[in-house]
Amino acid sequence: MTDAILRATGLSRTFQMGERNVIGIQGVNLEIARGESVAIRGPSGSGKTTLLTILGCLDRPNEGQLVIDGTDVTALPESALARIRSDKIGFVFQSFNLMPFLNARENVELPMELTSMTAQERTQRAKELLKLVGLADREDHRPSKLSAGEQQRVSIARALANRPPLLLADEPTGNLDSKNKVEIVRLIRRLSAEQNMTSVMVTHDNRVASQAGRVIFIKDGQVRSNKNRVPVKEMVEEEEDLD
Amino acid sequence: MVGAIAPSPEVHYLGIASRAARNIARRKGRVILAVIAIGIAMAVMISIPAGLNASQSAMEQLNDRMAVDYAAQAAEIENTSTLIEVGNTGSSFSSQRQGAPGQQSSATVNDTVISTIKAIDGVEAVVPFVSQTEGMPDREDFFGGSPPDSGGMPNGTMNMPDMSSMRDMLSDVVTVLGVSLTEENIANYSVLPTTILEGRNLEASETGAVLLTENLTAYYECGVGDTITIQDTEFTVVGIYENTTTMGNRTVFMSIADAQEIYDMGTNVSYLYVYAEDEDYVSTIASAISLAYEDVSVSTMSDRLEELNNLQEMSEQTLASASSTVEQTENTALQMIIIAVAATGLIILFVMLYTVKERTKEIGVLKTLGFSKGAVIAQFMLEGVMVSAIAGIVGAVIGWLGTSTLASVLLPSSTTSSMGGRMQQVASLSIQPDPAWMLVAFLIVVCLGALGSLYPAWRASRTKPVEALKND
Ligand SMILES: Nc1ncnc2c1ncn2[C@@H]1O[C@H](COP(=O)(O)OP(=O)(O)OP(=O)(O)O)[C@@H](O)[C@H]1O
Ligand SMILES: [Mg+2]
Repeated sequence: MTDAILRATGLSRTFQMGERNVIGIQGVNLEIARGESVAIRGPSGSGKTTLLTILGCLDRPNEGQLVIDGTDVTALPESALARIRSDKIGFVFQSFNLMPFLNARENVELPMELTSMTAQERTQRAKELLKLVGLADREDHRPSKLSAGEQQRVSIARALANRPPLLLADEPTGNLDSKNKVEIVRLIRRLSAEQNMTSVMVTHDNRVASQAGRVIFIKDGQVRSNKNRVPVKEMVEEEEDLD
Repeated sequence: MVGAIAPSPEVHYLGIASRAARNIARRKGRVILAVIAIGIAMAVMISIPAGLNASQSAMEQLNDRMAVDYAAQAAEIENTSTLIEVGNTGSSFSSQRQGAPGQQSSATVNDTVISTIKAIDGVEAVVPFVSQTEGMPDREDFFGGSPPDSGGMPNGTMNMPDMSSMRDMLSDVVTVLGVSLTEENIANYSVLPTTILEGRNLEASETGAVLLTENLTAYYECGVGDTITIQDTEFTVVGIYENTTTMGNRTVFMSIADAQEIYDMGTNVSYLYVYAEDEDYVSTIASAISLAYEDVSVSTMSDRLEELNNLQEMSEQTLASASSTVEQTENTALQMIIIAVAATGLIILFVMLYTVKERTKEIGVLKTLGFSKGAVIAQFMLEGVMVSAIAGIVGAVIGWLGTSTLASVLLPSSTTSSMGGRMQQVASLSIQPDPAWMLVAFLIVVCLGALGSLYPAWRASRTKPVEALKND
């Protein structure tokens, strides 16, 4: 058995839209090793977000099996799934999703409430994490007082709070300007490498994807290619081929 | 570490409580509205029982006071077994007849009548009185020509409780009582009040002097030594006598000669007290008088006792009807409390439902971070309980300050009005909220807060983590 942090077999998710069934993903097989950095590409509506929510245990597949860090989560009860989310997975959203009424430090502390850490330990770790993302001097600021790039840094710090082995990010740079895009991607890369985390990032940006150790291209809910180290040129060709 | 799921840590109530508090602070306007609405509902819960208690205890006091009054009056009447009261029946005042002095043969009680009665066998003494009323708004309207009960007994203790509504209308009415100030009458027939609080009593053959009750000193704004004007004639106030009735006695004492003069009555009087030498003569004398003067009213002790019983029955009926009003009020009060309780629960329910709906995405984010259903339920329940606790404190303050206003607005005023001014006089309706009940109401409101937020919190806990990904 390889040291896989994540193994998906035949994952499918369809959405009931009245009479119609809309396919989110279909028969996805995927194995991601510990410490890998993976980019997920694909046209709009291809099922990238759907896949990520299932990998992140935010949603359940209709079919297939998902094993995370050795635990088969497919049939876990809701409460156990919540534990997986707090212990195993850090999630970074396109729209940051910080709590508007909590300051930066409190936002980072929030997931640590679900651990046995003391209040002091939580504050201590939150401060360290904010320092790590370069916001040591912003810990008292509420999200509304932070720039978009700063908010995304806070949300990355929050995702790292419980030292999850798996970091999932859905277009984390989607709401950022080009300068911040580069910085955020670098930050995620650097931190996941430093903390020996596996990162799975959905991105539209081929340049960003080309820096990932592995690139997964999906279309119509299916994995169309799954290759290591894809150069930008090849990705463009791939898109043209398939379109 | 692989495959291991850490034991579920306890829910961090401090974090949950602090987030609940901050969420409340986030929506100040809405929370303030809800708090005021619930606060008023709670004030209603507090003030209604307080109002009911006040009405009930006022009623009880009134009942007790009246029982004591009647007992005292009955005892007094029983002491007057030899007294026959003789008045003008129908019972026209002498003053109304003064335009026809020639018609002596009819009922007008005057000197001639007095001498005739004195001559009857067994009569020991005849004491005349003049009783007139001052400040009456419009006699015909209230009495259809008959006089108000006007301090029947010399001491004023016989002042019967009149109909309460009349009492209100007659607040300006003063009875002027002219008594025959002979040495003998003063000494043997107690024509004057017994207890003088200030100054002195009237003396034999005195003229131009009056006695007032305590309550009349305020009405005339005068004291001993001052003068008051009645029928354009000045009188000196020589003394203040003790008011011995529940109702408040408004009688001015003066000599009968003065009274006859200022009311232009000649030798006419209003009524007579005829004293028999012995109880055994009473019925004979009474029938002799009735026979001689058919228009004259004659009442013996047994008549007076009967009259008192009738009055007592009437008052008891009034009280009974007031009690049934209180019972009806209790029903209304119960309904209002139910409405207040329902309103409190519903306000919390809707405020919390709205809050949950508005914060769906936020709850989704909590779920993605791994917060359990229980933690979400705890947070929203706590929020509802906090809002209702704040409202409870506000309600306690409103209730404490506004109970009497609220109670009188909410409870049908019939409870108090059916007993008229008398209730207020007897037990100046003080409506005080009961602190124990306030605490109960506070706990009820907090429980309603928990109950009302149960469903919204449950709804919140079912929010799917993917809600966090939905973009606004
Ligand atoms: N909750 C849902 N209900 C119904 N259909 C859904 C739902 N979520 C996703 N879908 C559908 O599933 C398909 C995949 O959607 P998904 O959001 O995963 O695409 P995506 O690759 O993330 O697109 P984008 O690049 O625009 O974010 C789409 O056709 C979408 O309409
Ligand atoms: Mg998407």
